[in-house]
Amino acid sequence: MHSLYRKANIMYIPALILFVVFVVYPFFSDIRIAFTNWNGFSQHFKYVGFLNFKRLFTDDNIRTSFINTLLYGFGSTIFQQILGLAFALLLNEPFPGRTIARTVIYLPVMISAVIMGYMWIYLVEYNGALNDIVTLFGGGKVLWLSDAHLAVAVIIAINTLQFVGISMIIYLAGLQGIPNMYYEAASIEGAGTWICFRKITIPLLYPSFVTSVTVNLIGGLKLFDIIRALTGGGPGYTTHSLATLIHSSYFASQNAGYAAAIGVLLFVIILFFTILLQLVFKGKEVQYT
Amino acid sequence: MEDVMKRVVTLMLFTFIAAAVIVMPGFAAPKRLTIAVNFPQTDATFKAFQEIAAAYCKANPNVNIDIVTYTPYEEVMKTKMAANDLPDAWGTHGWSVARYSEYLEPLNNQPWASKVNPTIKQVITDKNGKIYVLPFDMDVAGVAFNRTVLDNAKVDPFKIETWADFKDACAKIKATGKIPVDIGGGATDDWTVGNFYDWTAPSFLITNEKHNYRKALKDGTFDWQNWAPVAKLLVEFRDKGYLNPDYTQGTWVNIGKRMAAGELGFAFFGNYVIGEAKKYNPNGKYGFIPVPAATKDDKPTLITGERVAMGVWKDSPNKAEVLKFLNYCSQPAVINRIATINGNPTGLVGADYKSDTGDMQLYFNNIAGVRGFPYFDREYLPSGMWDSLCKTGIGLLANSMTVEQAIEKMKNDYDTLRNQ
Repeated sequence: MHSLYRKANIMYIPALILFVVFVVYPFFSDIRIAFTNWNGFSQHFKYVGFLNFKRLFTDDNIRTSFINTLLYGFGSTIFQQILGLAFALLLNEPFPGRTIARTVIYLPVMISAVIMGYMWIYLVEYNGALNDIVTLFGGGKVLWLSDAHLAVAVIIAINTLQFVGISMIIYLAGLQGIPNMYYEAASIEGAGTWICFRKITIPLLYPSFVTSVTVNLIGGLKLFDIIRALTGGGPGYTTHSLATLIHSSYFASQNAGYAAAIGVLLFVIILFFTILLQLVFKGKEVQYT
Repeated sequence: MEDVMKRVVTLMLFTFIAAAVIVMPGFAAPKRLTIAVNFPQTDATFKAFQEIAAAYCKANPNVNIDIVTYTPYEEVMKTKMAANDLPDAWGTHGWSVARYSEYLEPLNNQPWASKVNPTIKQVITDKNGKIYVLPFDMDVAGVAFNRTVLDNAKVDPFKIETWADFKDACAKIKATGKIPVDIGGGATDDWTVGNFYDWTAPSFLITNEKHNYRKALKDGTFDWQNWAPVAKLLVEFRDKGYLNPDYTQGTWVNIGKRMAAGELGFAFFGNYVIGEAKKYNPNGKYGFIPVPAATKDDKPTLITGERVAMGVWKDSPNKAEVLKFLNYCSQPAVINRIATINGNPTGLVGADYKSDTGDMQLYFNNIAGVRGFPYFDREYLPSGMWDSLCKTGIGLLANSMTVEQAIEKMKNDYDTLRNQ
């Protein structure tokens, strides 16, 4: 038995090494850099104490990026749950072309988010397809990415549409795991479709809901690629998320120390929401016997 | 016993052959040099470098040269600098002193060093008098334009001396239904707005000999309220309808296309924008004029700086070989070829150094005697403020930032980066 444990310990060493090299070391390295004024490329830098962390509280761009990060995280998650569940319910019913429909909705998940962003540029640019539709109906051309609020909404919409397939698949798996006998029993008792949905489907989909919300929320809070491709964080700094602001501060502004401090902030935010989700969802699974 | 002897002889033979392969020069593998060049947007320059390297390798079989580029070039180079793992030589795109000098070999003792074009010499020399790059050509830039558009609007480019004249010209172009100034402006191509500032800021802050802020900008005492006229010029262009209608979503590619199609009047770029337009319409009429002055007591000026310039990694294991290649590149045939491709003057001067600027010669003749000033951000702002120029410019265009907020942001970034 003892030897079995030893063998098991040896088996996870490669994974442990990878985890240490690509997660633990960069994490502590990031914290160390956050206390410096490193420009990101020189071999020389100075330790500046908590200066970068103090700046987090006075920088307007942090406030904007923080709000945007929450909007991307929660906005996308809410719409993905609504649409994902709707698609799952629709595609759980048999109809011709159902498999094709599932594939089409899931397909964008497999496309790189950067490519997705670049594809959407052609749709939302001044002479793009979206404005062609607007002008077809007599409207004037819209600068979709010029207004900060509109640009944030466009990013949320694109992120939602790209990753709604994940929610759909999770809910679909959840729906297929609900035994039909519950619906039959409820039907015998005279329950209608709405009652069945509220009292059987929703409660039994709870584990799927937890998974889908957690996956989408963390993905939304870390959103980077689409913003980078579509707006680069602009106009100005108005569509930056904390993730894109890290990149911009590091490479464009050459302020790696400050970028590292933003990285620490983002880590704390994601950790906070992950723990919060665990606490909120803990012990709320429903099982009918 | 016989078997043992056989094995010993075989082993000795093998060791001898292996040692011979390693030691004999004839068997030595050629040294592989990696040279990174930027400006991949001008394919012609990249291809020319590949051909130049191939010709050199043919004459020097002990060397293999890989001409590479990185995307995005600056970010990859910054990462490589952080890791102190750089190519043997690389293009410095205007930053040989301010950004790359820590990693570059001083080249003052190279045979071509005394031939560096005096116009660019101060730009590529650090405060200790060291030069780190071989300049193939040099940027001499003003405001580029489509001559046909200007002619149709009855605008004489040679009469534009101040921003007031320039605005009159814009009004005339606008009246013909064309775009007076294409600034690009899209968030993904926001460097086009940074370029606008690089072009316009000197006229307000630098070029006037009677009153300028050169010293204050360099010693950190600059009052950023003086940035207001620069920021307001951009806003004024927007408000008067002088900019492309998609000024917050415009792209670099579209500027070239519009210039080629005769849809725009002016563009604030070096002559590479004309090269871009010629890709789509080689028969178009294009030109450039010096950048207008802010007031009548000043004169129009030019923007000068590095264009294609190459430095050598000071820790390169192949330093001797790459220096030889650089010296090969300093010969007139190579320098003239690269400078001609970019339509720029040569970076080295001497009897045999001369580029062919083709149909742009008229405009090069026009700038004889015009004062040149280095790129504003490279000379007067700390490294890293380019992004601040771009982002605040876009912020102003999109109305997501006021002039005061833009000034505040510029001041904060200036102070932070100066203290790094």
